Amino acid sequence: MKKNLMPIAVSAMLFSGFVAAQTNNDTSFNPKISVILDGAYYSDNIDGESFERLEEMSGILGGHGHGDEGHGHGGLSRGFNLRETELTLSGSVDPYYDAWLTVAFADGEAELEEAYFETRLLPAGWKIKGGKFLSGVGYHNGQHAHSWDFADQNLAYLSLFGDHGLVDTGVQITYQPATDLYTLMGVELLQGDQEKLGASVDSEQLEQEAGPRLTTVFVKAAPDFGADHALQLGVSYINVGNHQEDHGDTDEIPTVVELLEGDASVWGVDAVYKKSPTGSYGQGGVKLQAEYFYLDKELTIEQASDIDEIGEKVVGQQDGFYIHAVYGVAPRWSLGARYDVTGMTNDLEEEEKVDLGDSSRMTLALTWYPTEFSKFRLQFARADISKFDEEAGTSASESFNQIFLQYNISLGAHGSHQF
Amino acid sequence: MLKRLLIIIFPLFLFAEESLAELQVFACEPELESLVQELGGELVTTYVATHAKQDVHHIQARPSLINRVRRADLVLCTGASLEVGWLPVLLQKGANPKVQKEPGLFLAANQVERLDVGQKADRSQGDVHPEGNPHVMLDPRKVLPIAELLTQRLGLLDPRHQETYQANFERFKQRWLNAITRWNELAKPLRGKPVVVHHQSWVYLLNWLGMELVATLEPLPGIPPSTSHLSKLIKQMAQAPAYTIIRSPFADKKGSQWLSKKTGICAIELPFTVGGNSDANDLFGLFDSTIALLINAKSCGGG
Repeated sequence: MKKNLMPIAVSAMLFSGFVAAQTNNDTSFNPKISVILDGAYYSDNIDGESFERLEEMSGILGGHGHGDEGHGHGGLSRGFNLRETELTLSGSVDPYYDAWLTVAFADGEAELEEAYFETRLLPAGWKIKGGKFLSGVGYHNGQHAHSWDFADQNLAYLSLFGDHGLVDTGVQITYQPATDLYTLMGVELLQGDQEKLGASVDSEQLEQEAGPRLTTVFVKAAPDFGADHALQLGVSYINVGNHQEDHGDTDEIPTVVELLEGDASVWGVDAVYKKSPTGSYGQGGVKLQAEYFYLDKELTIEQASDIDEIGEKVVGQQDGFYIHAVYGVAPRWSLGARYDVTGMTNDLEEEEKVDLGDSSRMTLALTWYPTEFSKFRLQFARADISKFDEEAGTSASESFNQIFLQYNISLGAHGSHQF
Repeated sequence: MLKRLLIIIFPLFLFAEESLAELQVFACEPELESLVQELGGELVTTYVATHAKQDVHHIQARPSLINRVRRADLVLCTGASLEVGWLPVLLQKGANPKVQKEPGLFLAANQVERLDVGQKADRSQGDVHPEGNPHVMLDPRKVLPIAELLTQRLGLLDPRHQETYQANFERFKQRWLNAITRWNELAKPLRGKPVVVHHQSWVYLLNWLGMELVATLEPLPGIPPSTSHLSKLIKQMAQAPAYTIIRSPFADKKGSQWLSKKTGICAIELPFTVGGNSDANDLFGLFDSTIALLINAKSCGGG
């Protein structure tokens, strides 16, 4: 998935420089260009190993500590870090479609985060989106990382969907009826090839079923509480028709093979409440946001070095939850608090049922935003992360502290204030 | 078979979309809602996205607004990038092909000549609008051509009532011209008076009244007043005192009140839009109240 897109991206950067040099009036045929710069000074009290702990956090998805290395975009070293630099091009293709492209650069590599088109002129409240995009499930999933209220992904999303949330290739169809109550219904047919869920195992011994392998359904509703208050409630369901996991271990001699396949489903509820600022420059604004997800998977061991294991069932359930609040404490200053937890239910049943243990975290974030184009954030987190020891069959929790001093700068086209 | 089904279903959709007799108007700001009410009367149902206590630069594209855009026949906004942070999202998420562009979309500031056009699009200069200052509705002379074009638009969207809209406009025009004459007469003493404003949103009003903008409390548009900038203003006011300090209902009171206390110059809150104070209950009240407050501003003792 990760290709070296650097040449394309560099030419796009040059192109953006060229456009910026033009006077303002004649750029309407060019896509809007924005660049997000993001970096952080980071430290923790366990010798910089907290991201490793988070990677090994006990959960029912994926292998046991042998996942795709290098996927941990959130992984920072102690000291200064350049995080993802995002380049976004967007605009109207013609009267019928809008298109959007986001490329993220990190560690000298470029990755296509989103590339999609969306209809504009379908009648009666219908819209179709096609390409690679952030899924419409949940609330936080559709938010771009630069608009997050915290420097990192919450544990519920991290453990069930991965650092970027559910982002996949396919089609989204939404319908918004012309009712008094805002209602949005959506269905997505996705390829099912992403970080946590789907047929992502690259092995000759396990064939991938034809896509789309991941289907989502979501409904959102929002009553009108006037100009100063807004509430949105949502329900989501994800069905993964073909979910694969690799529990093998190539470090062992001889190599241990264990490939699993089956299906998985997730349902979730989300709620967000916002109060518009009463003072100027964001003072007095309130945002409350919470989501809960429950994952159920049922797999069969398809290939294993221990032939007796083949055909055995592996079932598991895991849930995740977070709640966070952000308050505009002063003009251009906001204070956020977050509690996130995963694995309140964290059961995996192979020969016998084991509880993998829960992980939770408390986070405080103080953000200063001189304008809507830049922000600086000081974030402190206290985490209790469980790790499952397969030999002993028990899980143990380790506590640590993390501190981030993050900057997030947006250059170029005026970003939109998406709800 | 499919064709027959479509023939049955399609009119149902049309019926659902056309069943509301009145024109549904989504107005971004209260002064535009007031204008379309003058012109549309009983024939329009209006919804206004913002109120006077909100800074229209910073509005969330909340779902209830998306829902109103979904159901609108006409989206009536200021344009010139005033709503750039949220209107594009509403149009994009609203899934309503009628209002994506003209005639279902009417941008008031695009209909008239704007002041401060062609500023360099350079954010180091703060929140600038290269398309020109968007707050055109604060010059009553510009309200009239906007009203006339909006009348034509209403007639285009709802041809059955074209004559009613035209008659409403003629009536409004007469009242408005009389009001302008009255305001001009009242505002004569204000001509040439220097003023300090909180944000660059008053240029059209000052331009109309012939008042002179000598300073802004914000060091740059969209950047809150700083202590060092305010101290500079005190020095400036000591040398050449302004007549008054103006802010809008959504602006932070502290800066203008502090400067007022230090200089003895009256700080006043003008309604800025319809609903900005209890007297500004429509477009006429907006200017009646604005002129009255400006005239009374001398009683603070300053300039």
